[in-house]
Amino acid sequence: MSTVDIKKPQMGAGGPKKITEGEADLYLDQYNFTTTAAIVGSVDRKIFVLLRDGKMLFGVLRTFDQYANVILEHCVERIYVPESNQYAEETRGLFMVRGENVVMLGEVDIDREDGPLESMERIPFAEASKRRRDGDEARYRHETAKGKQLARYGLLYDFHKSDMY
Amino acid sequence: MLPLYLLTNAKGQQVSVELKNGEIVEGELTNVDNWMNLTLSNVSQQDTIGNSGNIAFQKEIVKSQEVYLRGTYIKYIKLQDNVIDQVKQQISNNNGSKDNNSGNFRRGNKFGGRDNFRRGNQNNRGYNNNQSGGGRRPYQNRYENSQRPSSGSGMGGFVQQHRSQRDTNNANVEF
Repeated sequence: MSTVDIKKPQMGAGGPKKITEGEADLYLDQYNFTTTAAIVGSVDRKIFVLLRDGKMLFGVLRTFDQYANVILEHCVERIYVPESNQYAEETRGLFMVRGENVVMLGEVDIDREDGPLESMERIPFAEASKRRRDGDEARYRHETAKGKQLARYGLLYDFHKSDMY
Repeated sequence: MLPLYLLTNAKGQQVSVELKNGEIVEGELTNVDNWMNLTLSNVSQQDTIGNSGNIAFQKEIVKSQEVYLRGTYIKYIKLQDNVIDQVKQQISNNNGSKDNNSGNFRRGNKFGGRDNFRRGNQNNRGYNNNQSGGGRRPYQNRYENSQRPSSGSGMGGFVQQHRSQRDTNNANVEF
């Protein structure tokens, strides 16, 4: 019995007509995935990931799942200090990021990636992360003060210190 | 190969976990479950204290023999660099005789990744089989033409299993 014979009964009467491979590919190209499946095209490419705490990770996307848990190989954490036109980098190796903490991720064009960095000054990572921490604290104080002000007028202000992105 | 699958295969290795509150827990991974709950042994735990700015990098270290970590409190996990290679090796050892390509992680062709997703979707029967409405064209019996998607895929072992299952009992493929 050929394979076609096995499959035919399952198709049922009045089954839809077959389409060619080319048509199928065309169809899939037009399909905009909005779930995590959208990043399937970025597998084995360099991507950046922004975390909820504001960290920026750069690395090669190896695998992912429906929660946007991602595995990044050759991962690098980078901190930008735009006020003084500086940045810092630290190599992190193989990273697994839990999807909950991901704000956004996207492919990086490796040809153009270094362009903006050339005009920036590289500083030690410890210094940059201290600057970042200080900035985060200042922001936290500012936002909580704002929240209290608004609360006096009976208004809600949504801010949580885990949302530092 | 899914991230959790990789993690389960990293058992016995040294990992470093950052929690959502910024604490870092380092130790040997002894067990993982489906919720990413972990047990670690020979653990050292460090917390950045003195957050008020003037003390920059002081850390408090707590050592303990065994620690259980709830998965939801994890921000990220740093694994050993060679984990991917090891898992690759394991997979190709397990079904090397059946499929020579199975250890290959890289996408074989430009559409390899997408094929992957297609497979996942097909397993999810009843998800998209609304044939009457919209411009959605049903898509049947793709695999008749022996034009299998390349087996080199980002998801390696898992997908292989799914595929062989589906080939036997779900020949009628719909979108």
